[in-house]
Amino acid sequence: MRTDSLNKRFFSWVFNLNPLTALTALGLVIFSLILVVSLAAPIVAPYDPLEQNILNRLQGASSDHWLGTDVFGRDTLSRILHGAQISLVIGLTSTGIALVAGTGLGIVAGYYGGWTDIVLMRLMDILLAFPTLITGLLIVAVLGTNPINIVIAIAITLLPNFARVARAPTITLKEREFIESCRALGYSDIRIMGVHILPNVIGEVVVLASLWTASAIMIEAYLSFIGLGVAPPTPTLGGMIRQGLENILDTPWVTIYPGFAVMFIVLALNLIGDGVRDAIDPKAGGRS
Amino acid sequence: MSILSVRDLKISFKLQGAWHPAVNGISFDVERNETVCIVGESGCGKSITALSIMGLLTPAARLEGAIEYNGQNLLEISEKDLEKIRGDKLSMIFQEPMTSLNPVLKIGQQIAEPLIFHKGLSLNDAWKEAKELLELVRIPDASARLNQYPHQLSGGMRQRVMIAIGLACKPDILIADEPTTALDVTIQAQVLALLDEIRKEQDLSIIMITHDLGVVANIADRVAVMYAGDLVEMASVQNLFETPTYPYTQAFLSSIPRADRADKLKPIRGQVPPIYDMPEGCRFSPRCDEATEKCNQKPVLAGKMHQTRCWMRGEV
Repeated sequence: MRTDSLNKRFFSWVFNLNPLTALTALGLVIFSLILVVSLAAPIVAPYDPLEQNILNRLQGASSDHWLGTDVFGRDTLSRILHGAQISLVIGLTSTGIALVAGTGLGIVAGYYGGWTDIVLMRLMDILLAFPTLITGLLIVAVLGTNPINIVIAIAITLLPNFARVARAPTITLKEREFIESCRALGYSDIRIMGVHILPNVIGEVVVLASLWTASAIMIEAYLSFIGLGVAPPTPTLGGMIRQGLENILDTPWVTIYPGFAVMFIVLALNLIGDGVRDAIDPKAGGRS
Repeated sequence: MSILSVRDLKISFKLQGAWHPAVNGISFDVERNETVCIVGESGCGKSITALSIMGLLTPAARLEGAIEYNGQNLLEISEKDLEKIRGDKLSMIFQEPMTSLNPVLKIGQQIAEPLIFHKGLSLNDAWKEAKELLELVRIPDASARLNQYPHQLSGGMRQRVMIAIGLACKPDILIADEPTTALDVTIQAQVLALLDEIRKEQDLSIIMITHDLGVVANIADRVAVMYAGDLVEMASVQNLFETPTYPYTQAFLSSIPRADRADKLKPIRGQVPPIYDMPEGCRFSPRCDEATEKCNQKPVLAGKMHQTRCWMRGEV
């Protein structure tokens, strides 16, 4: 049994964390490994990711090139390491921005209802009506291509998803008696939304965020493919998958290896997402 | 001076283009350290009266009259000022202890929060105070309970926690809307006894909303009987039970089964008229055995210590 120990940090005031499960720990291990290796890419990568070697193009795995080479003879492993770094930064920041803004908008729309809800959610519907690629393309075309704008574009395409996921439970939550009690205690709307509704909603949002981080990485790949993403020759995981597609029948590894990298990132994020949801939900924890 | 004084309060709702009063001009006072019970059947307007005192009615309701707390009319002050009073000076506990607590926040946080919000206490101090509040509402092992979640507590415990939250800022008035309806009888008696003790200790005034005359007999000092939006009788608890004067109150009291009497229960005949079809005069007259011509005119609440709104009882 826990004693009178008092959590002093704001985070644990709002989100009471339960102990991690083994799977979450595995997710954290995989993710930290990927993070460390990709951040250390300039040191650990065996080759310069941009160095072309036309004589060695489209080679399979060998002791020189562990994961083979691409169409320009560049080392795939080195490119994955460097590409993972850029993809992770873009994927995580854009999902993070979308999570904060989208969840906020969704809770506000669900809590106030009426015109606020109608206006905000119809805006979200407009964004959702376009395929993600088209929305991203429009935004990048308007803002111009640089990494920050790409992050903004991806965040905006993901934002309606978060808004919808956060809005639905808010609508049922605000009718619950404990929210009525909050009003009877004189709490302001902002406090009710932030301290009482958010912790009830965040679990679902975080799990989906782990999936949408993968989408963010793929959207970046689409944008790269049509020349609006991170410009070649800078490697990104999505860009590499796209590029490898051209020769996928002859040399599938050029696509498959970066694909594996994306898969591991997504797997790790999913495990973490599940763990975070369990950590937030007091009933899911093994605590009594 | 009374701590709370409701003057000619009228609460109307719009139904098919016309305004209908659900509460039809009621007046009563609550003194310091007193328990006033508002009784009546479902739909008589007792709960919306309570909500209107807290300022928690939907904006769709039209309020007239005055609700004076410490000489300040709560109907006229701004929402911001009202937020400061709510939960601090006036607090309210609700019927359903199972759903009135936030399922994802610890008990301690929920008790500490009003103290942080209204009194500006640090989390540390508020937590200590929360522990004292849990002890005040007689929850054993308080420091361990603070770290638990609502689903780990029983219904009676949760209602005690609700009371602790309501009392956190040492309010002047606690409004309890059927606080014991969801609890079984033994727990109900414990919670009522607890409220009464705390009232004495903390010089608190309690407004209890209920339809349960057992609760009234248990805890009330004075009783206000409501019928179809009218306050029809107001008396001390002894007077009301011994010599009820209003025909509805008499019928209400004799419709309760009693262990010491073998005679048949007497239900009240008829139904409460719908809000859009209220009689002009006495609202109980269609169901009243004693109604006469005169009852087609609106009676006034007459009497001093024992007030009744009935033409037939004018002399009491």
